Amino acid sequence: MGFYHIADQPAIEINPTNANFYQERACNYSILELLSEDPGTYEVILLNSPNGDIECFGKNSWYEYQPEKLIENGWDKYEKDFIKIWLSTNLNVDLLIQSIFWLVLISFIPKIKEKKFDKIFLFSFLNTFLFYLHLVGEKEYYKSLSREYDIRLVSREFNGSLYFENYFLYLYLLTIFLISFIFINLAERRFKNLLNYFPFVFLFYGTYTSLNLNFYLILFSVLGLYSIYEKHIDLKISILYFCFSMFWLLNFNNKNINFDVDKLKGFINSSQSFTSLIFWILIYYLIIKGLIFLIKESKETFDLIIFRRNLLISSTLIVLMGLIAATNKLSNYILYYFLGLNKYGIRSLQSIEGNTWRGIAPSAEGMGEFYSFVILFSIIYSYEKRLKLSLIEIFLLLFPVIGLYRANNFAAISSSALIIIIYFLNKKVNSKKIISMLLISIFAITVLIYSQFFREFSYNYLSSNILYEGIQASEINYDMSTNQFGESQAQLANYQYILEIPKEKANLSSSLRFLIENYTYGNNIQYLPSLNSIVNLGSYFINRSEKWGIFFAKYDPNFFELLLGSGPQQLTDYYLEHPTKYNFGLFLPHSSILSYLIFFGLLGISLILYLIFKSLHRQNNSVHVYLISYFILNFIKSDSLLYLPNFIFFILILNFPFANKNNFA
Amino acid sequence: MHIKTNVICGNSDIKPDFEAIGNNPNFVFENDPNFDSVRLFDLEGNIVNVNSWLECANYVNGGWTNYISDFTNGEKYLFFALCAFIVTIGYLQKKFNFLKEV
Repeated sequence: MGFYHIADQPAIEINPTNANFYQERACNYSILELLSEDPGTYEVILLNSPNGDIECFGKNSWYEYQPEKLIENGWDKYEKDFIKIWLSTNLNVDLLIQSIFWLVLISFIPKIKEKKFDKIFLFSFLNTFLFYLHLVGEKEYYKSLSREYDIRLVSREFNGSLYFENYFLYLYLLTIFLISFIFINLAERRFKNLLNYFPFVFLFYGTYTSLNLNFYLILFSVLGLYSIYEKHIDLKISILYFCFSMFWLLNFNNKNINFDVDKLKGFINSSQSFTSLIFWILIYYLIIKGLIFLIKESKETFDLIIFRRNLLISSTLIVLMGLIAATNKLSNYILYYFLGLNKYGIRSLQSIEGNTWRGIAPSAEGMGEFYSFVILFSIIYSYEKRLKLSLIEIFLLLFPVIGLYRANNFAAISSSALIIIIYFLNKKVNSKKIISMLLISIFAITVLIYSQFFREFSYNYLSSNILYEGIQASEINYDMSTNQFGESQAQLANYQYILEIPKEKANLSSSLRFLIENYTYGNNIQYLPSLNSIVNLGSYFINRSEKWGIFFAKYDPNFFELLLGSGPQQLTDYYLEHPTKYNFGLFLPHSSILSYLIFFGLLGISLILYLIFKSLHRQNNSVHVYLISYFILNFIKSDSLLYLPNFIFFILILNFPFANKNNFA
Repeated sequence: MHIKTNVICGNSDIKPDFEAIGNNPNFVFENDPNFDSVRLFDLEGNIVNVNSWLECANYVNGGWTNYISDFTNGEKYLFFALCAFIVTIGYLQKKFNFLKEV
């Protein structure tokens, strides 16, 4: 099998009966050859197979027919039959092709003031070393993708001679070096303009198809290295981060685990190894340093008009690309590859179960937040800075509105609406008393409507429904007595009974046990709900009881982990360590705050919040408060901080370059 | 080659002397009951079933494999192609400051 292999037989019609033909002839037909044989009788889904060889890149890997099947819990609803075709991709080819494509796109950013970068070779080399750690650390992930996986630059043969032919590694390192080197060179004259084009990170997601890496990690880590070189170091925060890191490293248990990163690909640790933890500790620090360095350096050149325009263009393109990906299978595959998506675009214009339509985004929630942010930003800044929207911009604004409507992110819609209301109240009404009265009235009316609407549920049930869901998710190995209806004590939410089961049999996570004990035996002030009950009650109204219940069933930290966390982007232990009914698939905490509780612990979250408030106080910019409040409100119930574009945007908003008045048209 | 042997035949503490095996026409590989038989093939499509780690390692050392793509080292070709690309970029960069001008 060579690079120019020609199939001994031409491709034949794509239908279920020809499955064997294609299964026996892997690595023979290109995507175009296959699609030219598709009569359109069956739905064809193109998928990538990341463990392909270089010579098979882009060719068929596997073929499968999935007959019509009954939808789970559906009486007479059937899932349509379809044919799945896997196409080979390769780790090193993807790294090269996708990076070159995105670097070419960066070269289209207009050049402005030059920023001189010294020692490009040295920093590209350091960055390459950093990503070498990634390859070493996430061994289990990469071993499953390539037979060639070998981390030794030079190894010994059986006869003792040296072996210098580990081209798998040489290629990987050379490509990372090349990306860093080209990026720095391209950035020298564009550096101060990059920030204006940040909205496009939501369109070009930057995740490599076959790697657990994101393109922006490579770019911002090299900028992070430069920021340290140019002494942009906040010593106190760096020392604190170092202390946390030491704890994470000392508390770490090395295990040969491969965590299925799924839609979090590119910004989460897939392994439970010491080296991978070091990599993520370093990369997390460096990307934040890199981002802040870029933002600080761009203060003079940041242009609100360009930024707003790019927000509108990016969100419009995201909606349009989502529509294209939904209607054409080839586009769906190509967009997945070249936009670097974490997940294939949705293959239908219909919402999932009549609910959400995520388009090309991995999460409707995360993208809904972005659409909503575009609308919020356009309205608030256009008003605040008297920057009128042109007719085209008003037209473009329709797309994020459509996107938001289809994403059906109620939290993003309601939080942005609330923030817009508060903003205009602050602008139009001078009396703080009237504003407070109005807000209290809105709150009271909302609570009243909700309580009227949901009054079929008792307070008793609602005040503990996270705990209830948590118990249902726990793997309790105890023969519980059942009542005449066959309901166990767990199903009856008999918390006291559950607490009396021996610990090793109850198998409750430490966090869930703590919450149940607090709920059952905690000191309560009569007629006043406890904090525990309020959170339980609140979770119901934002549809998070089940998700947070599963989170607490799984989250089993010791005291120090609760305080300091497990380290940035470390979900492996949380996912696989404590046995529950949900130790498979990707059950996210559905709250960025809970995710960060796993990463940084209570102390870490408190410090992050303190830094955010300190930053707000220092900047003393009222508009800024609205945007940050919007993000924090949404982080309560969404996982968006686990996606790199959302994370980048949050760091940008936290450090938004408002100080320079020249920016304001 | 060493790593490829480990991938195909599994790990072993044995230090094989392929030269000695090759020079001895009477060398007989002893079956290892603890070794799961591996089917190997060569470029011409010949097939052999090996029953010990040493026998497997010997065949792999001779260019046999259990995986069709092992006959082409795609990484090697791509690596040299990338080197050529880097030399070109390096030349353009040195001569015209290419990356800053684009």
